[in-house]
Amino acid sequence: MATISTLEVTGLTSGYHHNPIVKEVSAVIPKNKISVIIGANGCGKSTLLKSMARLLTPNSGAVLLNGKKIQEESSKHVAKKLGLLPQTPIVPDGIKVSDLIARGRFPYRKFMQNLSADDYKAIEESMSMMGILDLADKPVDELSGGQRQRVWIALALAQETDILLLDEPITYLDISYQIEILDLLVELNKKKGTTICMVLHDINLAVRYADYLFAMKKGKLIKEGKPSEIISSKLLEEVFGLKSTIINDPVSNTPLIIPIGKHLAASSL
Amino acid sequence: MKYEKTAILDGYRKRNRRYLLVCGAMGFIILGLAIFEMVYGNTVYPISTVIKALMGENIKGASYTIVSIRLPRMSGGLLCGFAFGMAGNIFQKLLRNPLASPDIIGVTSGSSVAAVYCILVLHLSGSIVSIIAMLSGLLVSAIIYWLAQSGPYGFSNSRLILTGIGAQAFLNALVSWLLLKAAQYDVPNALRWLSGSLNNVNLSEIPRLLFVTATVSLFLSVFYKHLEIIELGEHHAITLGLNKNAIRITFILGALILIAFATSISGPIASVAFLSGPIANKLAGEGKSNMLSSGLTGSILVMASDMAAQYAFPARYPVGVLTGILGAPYLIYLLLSYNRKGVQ
Repeated sequence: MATISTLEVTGLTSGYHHNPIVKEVSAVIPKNKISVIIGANGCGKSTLLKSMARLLTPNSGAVLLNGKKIQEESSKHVAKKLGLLPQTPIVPDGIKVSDLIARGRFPYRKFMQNLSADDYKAIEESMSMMGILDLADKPVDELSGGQRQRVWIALALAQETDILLLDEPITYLDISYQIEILDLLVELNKKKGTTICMVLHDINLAVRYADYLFAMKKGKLIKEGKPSEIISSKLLEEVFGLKSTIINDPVSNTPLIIPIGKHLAASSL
Repeated sequence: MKYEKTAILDGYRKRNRRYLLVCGAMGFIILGLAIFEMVYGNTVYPISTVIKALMGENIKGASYTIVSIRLPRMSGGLLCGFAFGMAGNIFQKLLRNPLASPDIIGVTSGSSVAAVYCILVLHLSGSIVSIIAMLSGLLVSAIIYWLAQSGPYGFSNSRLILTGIGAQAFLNALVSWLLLKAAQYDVPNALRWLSGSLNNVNLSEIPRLLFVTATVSLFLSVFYKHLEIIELGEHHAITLGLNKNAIRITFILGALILIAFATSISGPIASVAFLSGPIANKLAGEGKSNMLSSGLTGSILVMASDMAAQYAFPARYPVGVLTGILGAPYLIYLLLSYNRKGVQ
């Protein structure tokens, strides 16, 4: 199933309280692909994602959903096209897994009406995709970090959007859960064609899982493209100020970045 | 399209059934308390007498007690309790903080200070005091809200709570000062406004209270889904397409009107707004908006405490003294559990 929604930003300047963090960024998020925004702390990658998800209002420029300014569209209409997993979502006390995921159906629900058959179907589908059907009646606050993250993604899936934005979805997880969550996102992208755009801190995981990369520095978009085409030690030096060697990842056949570090740099150079 | 599988459906059904059962049971308890309050007192009247008196029959001795004393006391307790319970739960859910109840964030002290001033300084009495208290409660809340949203960073929950606690401390100091300055014979009358009491509820005030409580709580109830979304935080609210500012204002205004009206009748009955939501959550199931169940819990708390405060002890106490004692341990428990897990 091919999706139809497109997301792009044009000349976007955005940030908190007239202090622009993202400056004049223009980009088209590739349709049906997984793209990852990378960059050093404070480079504006999270701000860019938040602006695309309309959590922040642009100072100038625009975010276009299907060619129309996202701020001017009805908010429920946008909610059916574009979903977001925020960095630190809030779990209401004692809520059960299936009740939390049901809230993802909000944009579709009629005033004063119970969940419909369509709602149940979407909830069950997203839970089975995330492998959490057996957790349905468990309280969310008793789950492990990895399980909890799957619940939040299931909520976003129940929203049935063409585009899913994720703000550092694996930052606080153990490495095994990190891989598990990223694998689930790949599966989602393959099965439903969902356009995924996320911010990741781990550069090697970003390179490995992304179809397309956006590299940011000081609020500007400085390079974009397929990981195998744009990753170079020069780019990494520019983006992160990091000296590194690039080798081929024997498992995924993608670039693998080996940071050099101060002490080893002295002996190898 | 028909939905076949039942694995998840069962869970939803079970939780909905529990909610309805608990609300039904609470309704019965309230009915029981209401009958008990009408029948029991210094003189115990049979139910038949109570009904006759309520139907307008003039029974010597009984009619005055039943219609002019017990009826306003009972219905005042029921309605004020409902209003406090529902509004308290709304604040707690809206601001995602169990401390965010109107008696902690200073809304009710706005009413108290005006009432005490009217009684002790202006020597007013009767429903004019109630009306001024209500207006003052609304005014103070408006000021607190305005302070919480002004400045470069805009509205935030913790700013509202902290501003409220500050306002509360200031207003309570004013009340203490007024009491110190007052003539002794005025003080008992003013005390109603400090801890809350149903002693002086007048039958003529009940229709107004009933009308406001019923319309406002019905109006807010239809937005239960919106409250559930706002509970997920700003980011999810925007993502899910909620018009969060309009909804937040609607809920805050509605809850404030409930509180202000109830306070103008009974004074700020301590801790009811603070306790009802958490009790209702535990009984009727967490993870729901629990608007109806927390209102019913409030009614039960006030009616039962009022009966106990009147008849269970050697002396009669205003209801707020007893509910205040109920609230204290829970507040301590909350603060201790915050200490353990750290405020997030």
